[in-house]
Amino acid sequence: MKVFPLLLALLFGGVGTISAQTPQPEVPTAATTTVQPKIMVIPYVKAGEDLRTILENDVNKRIVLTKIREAFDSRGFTTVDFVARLKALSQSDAMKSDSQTDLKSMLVASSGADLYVEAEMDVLLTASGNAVKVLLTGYDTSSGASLSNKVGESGKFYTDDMGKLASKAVEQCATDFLNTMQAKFTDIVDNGRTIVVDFSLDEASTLTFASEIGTQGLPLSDEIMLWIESQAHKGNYHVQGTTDRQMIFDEVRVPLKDPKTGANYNVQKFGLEVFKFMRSLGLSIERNTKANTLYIKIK
Amino acid sequence: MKSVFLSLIALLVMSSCSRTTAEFARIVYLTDDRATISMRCTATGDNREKAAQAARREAIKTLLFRGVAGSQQSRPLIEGTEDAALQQHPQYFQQLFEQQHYERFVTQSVVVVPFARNNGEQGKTITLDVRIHLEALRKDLESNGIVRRFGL
Repeated sequence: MKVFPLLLALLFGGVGTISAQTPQPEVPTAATTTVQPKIMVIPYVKAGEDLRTILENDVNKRIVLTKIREAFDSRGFTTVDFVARLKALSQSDAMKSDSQTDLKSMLVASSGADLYVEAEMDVLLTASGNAVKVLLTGYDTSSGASLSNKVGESGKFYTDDMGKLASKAVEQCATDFLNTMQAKFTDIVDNGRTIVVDFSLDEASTLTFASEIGTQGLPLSDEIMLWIESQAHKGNYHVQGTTDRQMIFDEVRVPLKDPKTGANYNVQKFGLEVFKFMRSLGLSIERNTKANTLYIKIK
Repeated sequence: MKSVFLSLIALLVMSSCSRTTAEFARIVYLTDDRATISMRCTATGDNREKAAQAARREAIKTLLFRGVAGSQQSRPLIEGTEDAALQQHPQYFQQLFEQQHYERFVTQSVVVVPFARNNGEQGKTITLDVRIHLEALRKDLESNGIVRRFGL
């Protein structure tokens, strides 16, 4: 009889059962809202085409741009309007340029876009049906790094409605295009944002990048390189090249948030750190920024 | 008394042993559009209902942790390993899988091959064509902080 209490204890004691773990409360992430990059969708310009009129003359290209922007909208992301920026730019003398490459660069630079997506449309007309291919390429404005590349195909149909085929082609690749871009964003979150730092010397300066400077008497280029190495996020940087008069870092990774304050970190803040470093070497500088490129002129 | 005691022990041991079929699942991409994705899912189970649930659950897990080859969602919705995600968000995934919240994202589930023993497969399997509301699943992950919204 003494056995029964023991049996009851075994039965209800959970022998052979899995005890549920009390789920740990999930700690909500807090802090400063991260400033999102500005993205602009622009049409690809072929030889002989004019960026100013390319959309006016072809409704199907307008459909392609709209469908791409719709894909960004569906992810809750707002893009910079290409047509509005083009109109704003047309007010300025800069629009007098005949070179389409210059025009595109000016448009992207003046828009303040951190990233841009170039959309090319190719129409295929055959006896066995018509098709449209769309080529989407996403670039970092400052570094020119490619963020995402996809080709969408509508498939062949017996139709003259190229707008419908273009729409189908974009839908075929837009999600994957955005997913690839998001993977690159994750890399930025984990490993820092890329900025470009361009050091040059003022014309009146007697210094060169080989001049020995600072307490250790190292060449200026080495002082700068060692400092950049210490400041770059996870020590991640790349030197494009060094001459006597110029030194370009075409990739310097900076954190998204200031590690000390948690505030958004940007190229201007990095410029401030460069200013302090140069001052410690006894040098004065002039700073300029354009998108994510920092121009430092040493006097 | 001794025989009663031994019988009870035997009953206890037997009841704690469950008869389960070894798990098996296969996912094949069918079609997708902007908001949904359809897959052909084959899974095993002790009975028809459990096998069908396993098929739908595996479809969701494939989207979350592995991606669906050939589709627009070739990348997994959640970056990193499945184990890391389960450890980081235990409450969410307990509700999603064990409490079957994943069924909310299944818009269609059609039996293609009925529950039966099929050649070359372990145990009895069922094959379903399952359509998942991918956009709703993504938004659910974003609103619960499992994945980041598009952007930085």
